[in-house]
Amino acid sequence: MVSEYDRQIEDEQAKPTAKTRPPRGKMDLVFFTMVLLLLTAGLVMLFSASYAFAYYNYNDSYLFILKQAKFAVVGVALMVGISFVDYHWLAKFHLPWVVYGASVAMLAVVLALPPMQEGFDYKRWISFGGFSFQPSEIAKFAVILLFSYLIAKNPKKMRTFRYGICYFVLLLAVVCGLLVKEPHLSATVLVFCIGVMLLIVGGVRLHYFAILGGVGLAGGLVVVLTGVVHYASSRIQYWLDPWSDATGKGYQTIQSLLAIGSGGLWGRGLGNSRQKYLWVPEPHNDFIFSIVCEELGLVGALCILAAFAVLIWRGVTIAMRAPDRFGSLLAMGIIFQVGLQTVLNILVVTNTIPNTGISLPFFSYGGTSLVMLLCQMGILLSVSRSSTIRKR
Amino acid sequence: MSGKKAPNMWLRMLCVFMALLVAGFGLSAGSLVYIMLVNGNRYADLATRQQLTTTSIEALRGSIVDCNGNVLATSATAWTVYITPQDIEGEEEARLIANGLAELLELDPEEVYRTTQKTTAYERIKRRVEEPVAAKVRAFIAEHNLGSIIGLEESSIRYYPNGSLASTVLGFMGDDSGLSGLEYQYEDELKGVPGKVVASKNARGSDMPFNYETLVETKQGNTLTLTLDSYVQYSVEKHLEEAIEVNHATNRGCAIVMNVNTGAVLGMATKPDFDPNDPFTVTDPYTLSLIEEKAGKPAESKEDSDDEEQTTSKSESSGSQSGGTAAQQSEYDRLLEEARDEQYRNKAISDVYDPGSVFKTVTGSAAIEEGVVNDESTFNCPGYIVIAGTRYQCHQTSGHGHQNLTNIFENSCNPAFIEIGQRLGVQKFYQYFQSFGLTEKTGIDLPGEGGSIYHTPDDMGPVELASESFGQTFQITPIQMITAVSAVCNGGNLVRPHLMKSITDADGNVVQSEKTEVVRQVISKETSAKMCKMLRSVVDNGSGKSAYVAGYRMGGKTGTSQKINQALSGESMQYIASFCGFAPADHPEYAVIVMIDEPHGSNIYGSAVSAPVAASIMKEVLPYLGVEAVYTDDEYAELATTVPAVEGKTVEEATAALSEAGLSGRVVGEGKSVVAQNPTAGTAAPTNGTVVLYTEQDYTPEQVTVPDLTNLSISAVTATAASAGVNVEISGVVSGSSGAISYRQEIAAGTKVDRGTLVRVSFRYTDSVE
Amino acid sequence: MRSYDSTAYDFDLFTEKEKREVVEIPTRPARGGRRSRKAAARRSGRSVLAIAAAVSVFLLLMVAQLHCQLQTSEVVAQINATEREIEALKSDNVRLQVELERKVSFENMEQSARAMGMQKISAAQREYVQLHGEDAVEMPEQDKDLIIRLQELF
Repeated sequence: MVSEYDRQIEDEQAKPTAKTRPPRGKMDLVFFTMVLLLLTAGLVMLFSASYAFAYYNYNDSYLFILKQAKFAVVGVALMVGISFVDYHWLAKFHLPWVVYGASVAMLAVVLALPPMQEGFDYKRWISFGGFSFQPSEIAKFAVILLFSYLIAKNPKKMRTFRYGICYFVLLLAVVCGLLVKEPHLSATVLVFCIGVMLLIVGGVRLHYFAILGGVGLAGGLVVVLTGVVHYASSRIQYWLDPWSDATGKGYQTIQSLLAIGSGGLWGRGLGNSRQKYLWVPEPHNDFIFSIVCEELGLVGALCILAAFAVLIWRGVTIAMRAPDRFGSLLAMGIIFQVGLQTVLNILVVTNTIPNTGISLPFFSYGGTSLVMLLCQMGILLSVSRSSTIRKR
Repeated sequence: MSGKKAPNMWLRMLCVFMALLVAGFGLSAGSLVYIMLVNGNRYADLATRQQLTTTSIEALRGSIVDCNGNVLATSATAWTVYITPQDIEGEEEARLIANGLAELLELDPEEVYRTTQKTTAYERIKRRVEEPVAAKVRAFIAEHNLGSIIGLEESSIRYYPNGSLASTVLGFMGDDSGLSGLEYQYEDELKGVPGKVVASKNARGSDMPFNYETLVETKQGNTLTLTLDSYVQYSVEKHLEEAIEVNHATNRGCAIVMNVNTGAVLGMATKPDFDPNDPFTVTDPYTLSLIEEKAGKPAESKEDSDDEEQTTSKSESSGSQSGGTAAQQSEYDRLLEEARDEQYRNKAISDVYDPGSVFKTVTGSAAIEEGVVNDESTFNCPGYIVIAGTRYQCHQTSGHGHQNLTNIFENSCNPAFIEIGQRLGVQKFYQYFQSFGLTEKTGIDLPGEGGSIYHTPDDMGPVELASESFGQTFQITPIQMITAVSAVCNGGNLVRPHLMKSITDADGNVVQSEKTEVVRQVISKETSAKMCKMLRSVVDNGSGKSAYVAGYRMGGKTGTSQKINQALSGESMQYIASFCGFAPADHPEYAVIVMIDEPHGSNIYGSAVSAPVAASIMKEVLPYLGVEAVYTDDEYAELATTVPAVEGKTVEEATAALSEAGLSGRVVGEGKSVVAQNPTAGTAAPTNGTVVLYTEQDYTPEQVTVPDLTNLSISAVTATAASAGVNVEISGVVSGSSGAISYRQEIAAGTKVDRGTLVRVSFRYTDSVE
Repeated sequence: MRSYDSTAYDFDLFTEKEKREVVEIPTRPARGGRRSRKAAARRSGRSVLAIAAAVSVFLLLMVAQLHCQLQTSEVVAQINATEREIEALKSDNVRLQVELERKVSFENMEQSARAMGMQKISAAQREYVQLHGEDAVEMPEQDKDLIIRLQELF
């Protein structure tokens, strides 16, 4: 039996018409609340984690929090604004292709540019006029958008090998390949996982997928083991035993573990972290969660984790209640990205997986990332407004 | 078939979510639990361990001050600059560091470069770097980002603001503690106790704003107040140094000024000495000149030539000449080494010597106390005496003839004292020897006090007794001698000499203070009074005339001892010229001893070498210490007068005023009234001196050259001065005596001065009395 | 649920519908009224604002607390820096004092004085002055009035 909506999608190919579309209503308030809560928690923790670092290095305790707050305000405004816009506009004017093409182009440009920071041999940023951003962020969204669009457009073709797998694998490979060349392993992994997830949800035949998956994994292992991407292999050594280079590569991991361990059950109390006093390097970036653990303890950390879980659940609910495939996939992609990033960040911070440089959504310092994240939340809220399930 | 997709999609979404939840969040939560609960304590412990540091807070060493509070030694924080050579990357960096540090710290860049080539983790570059230089080093580090290679450690530096003043007494410091002198003796009181603080520190080492605990309070070092008086010390050192140089002494000299009643030491000097600010080099010019005399000039040192090659080629060429320069260099170096080890020795308490005739004060007092001699005793000196077959020659080979008790002191007659010794007998003699503290150390609060060498009664036959009676064949230290003489003159009490006046802690509380300790009563008050009178006569009439100071009633005894032990080992005979005296003789307050070892001047006797030093010292020091001068009529008449003010008066009035004061005037110019005078009003002028009166404006002061007034008799001095146009003030001459020869003038010969300027001339007596 | 083959009863419709709630509600009879939609929007808008407000309060409280800690932290850092400066200045002070002492040492003073042409005081120029005992207070005779006299009587 075909659901009404599937038929609609098949027929209309995601073309918006006022007639067939259900009217838009309230946004999902639970989701909205969770976003605000997490954002608030993120700002508060960023403040706490960064003031010592900012004071000792830049003589201005408020440096990071003020910047982040400004971006947060802008981001929240954008989020609410975007939630009013029908998400189907994203599918218009071949926008998914445009965005995809643009991000591929930017990734290529980034490779051509010289490295932004001395001593690091990865090229990740494009900067102009004092404003810098990472094309990988755009690439992530581009993949979500394009895949959602394409899958939604031809849901039947997803069962085929040629369309369902090869086409998408190719699209994915282009982006991931460019990302690997930078090298930006964390973005590569994220994009890859998101792409795969969307394919799974999108209806690919699972056994095709399993074969491909196996091949892919093997290939990945080969790559890693032969040290082609050598900077990844060295990271593995310091993951397994950070104390082998306690003052060099293992330092950050060790400091993070010390911070987390110091938290105990109830934590040291908000603002009372000791490790943030120049022991944990860059406590406002990827390792902000260590400070969270130290200050709020296991209870606090699990609460935040729970908050994220609620957010993810709510996002999945929105995806499940979306009126059409496009909306579902879009929502699913976005929320999965958030969830995966969170999980990976926490796993890195606890040294369960080697350090890959993934930031924690809502918490880590990064204006453009925050704004992008909130905009994506806005898209989710927009999907929720179109949702077919309403609260009474 | 497409219908299957919808629930599949729904289902798949759910599956993905669950997978994420379980695998992802579950794993995260699990790892958090694992770290925070299971390993929590371990990590918390590690974190605490890295954050908490127990730092030692250094205590600042206490200061040493003189009796008036003038600082003699004080500490301040300073820095030690070190490098971690193993972290230096590359040649360029090493050169940069070497040149930079060498310039800032005034070191040789090549040496610093050599240090950078080592492979250790810690190499000290320079200690005791003061704050301004340390700040520059820090700036250098910051500028070139060398923070992991160059470091600064906090330490301290000890300052001795007065340079070599009292250096042998104060001692000096090594890295952390005093190595000699008072710095060593009072190490425990001075050094304080470091405190311990437990604090939370961030990765850069500065404090976190969290509570910490003070485990141990820092206790700053205590301040040591000495009985030394800087001015007295300065006077002693000045005159001692001069005498050593003038008399060309080759084995140093020492002097002590002591309060006879309390034992407080006001001045104790050994010259030549060292500069405790730079204790490991020989800086005293006199010492260096003596070394040069013996070993010739040293070859050019590396510091003088910038080019290392130059030096090598020089030494190569000099070496090829005759090997003589190289040998010279090593002899020089050897003597330099020796001198450096010797320069810390406090001769006044460490070196033992045959006291010679000064010891006759002890023999005499013992004899008087025992009643073996009295006021009526007479002695006859034929020029020698024979004891048990050994013949002792008197220094006056023709003999002193008939003498009374006072005479034998005045003449320092050996046979007379030998006889007294025989009359006392070994047992009594030894008893008093012991009683005067000469068998044990005085117990002065300084390290390294020498022990005396003497014969015990079992060891003493009549010959030994005879020798010891006039102060030979046993050795004591100068501090023992002056303590004994103090006992002779202060009423018979043997006091304990000491340098510590009080010890106060950092808050000003007195922790310890001096006590006058009377060890024992050695002789009675009456005997002491008798001795004082006789010893005053030694200065007024006898061999001690050179020690005379008008108005201050000096008493004392001269001594010239032979260094027999040295002579026995085959070297030529050397002498020690000494004098020990006290003032005022009617009511003794202060004693002085001057001992000069191996003088080589024209006159090596204590009366000519050491006594004038004592006079110079006491003349300067007694008025300062508040001892009132009491002049006899004769002395009073010979005193200098003060020049009256005559500027502005008419010539007649001026001349009249001058003659009233016992002076005459010399008029220069045609004017009617006095425009200027020389010497100016209020300065000293000798009786019968001349005051120059200028009567014309735009006068040019007449310039005259100061003549050489040394080695002349009194009349010769007065005449020479008058013809040269300068006024003289005479000191050191006992009124009514003859034989005084001038030996020092205050303004050097050849200096151009205004006519009428006063030149002070000091006299001494050069009788060859032992 | 497609196992049912009976077309007589189109259970499919039912079964399908069970799974997914058909949205009728949005196309409510009260399709009428932009007013009601506005009211609904206003209501949701109000809750949004309420949520936003609550969250902001929460945020501000936290920020305020952190702000206080931050200030403590900054002040402590400043104190430490100042203390270190004080120590450095203290030791520099001692160094300068010592230099001063060196300059006014007896040796220097005597040399400088002689260079300026001064001479030491001669013995003759010292005058001794006798100070008599302690100060005594003399009270002048008071005019005694009646009361004092009476007091004296008793």
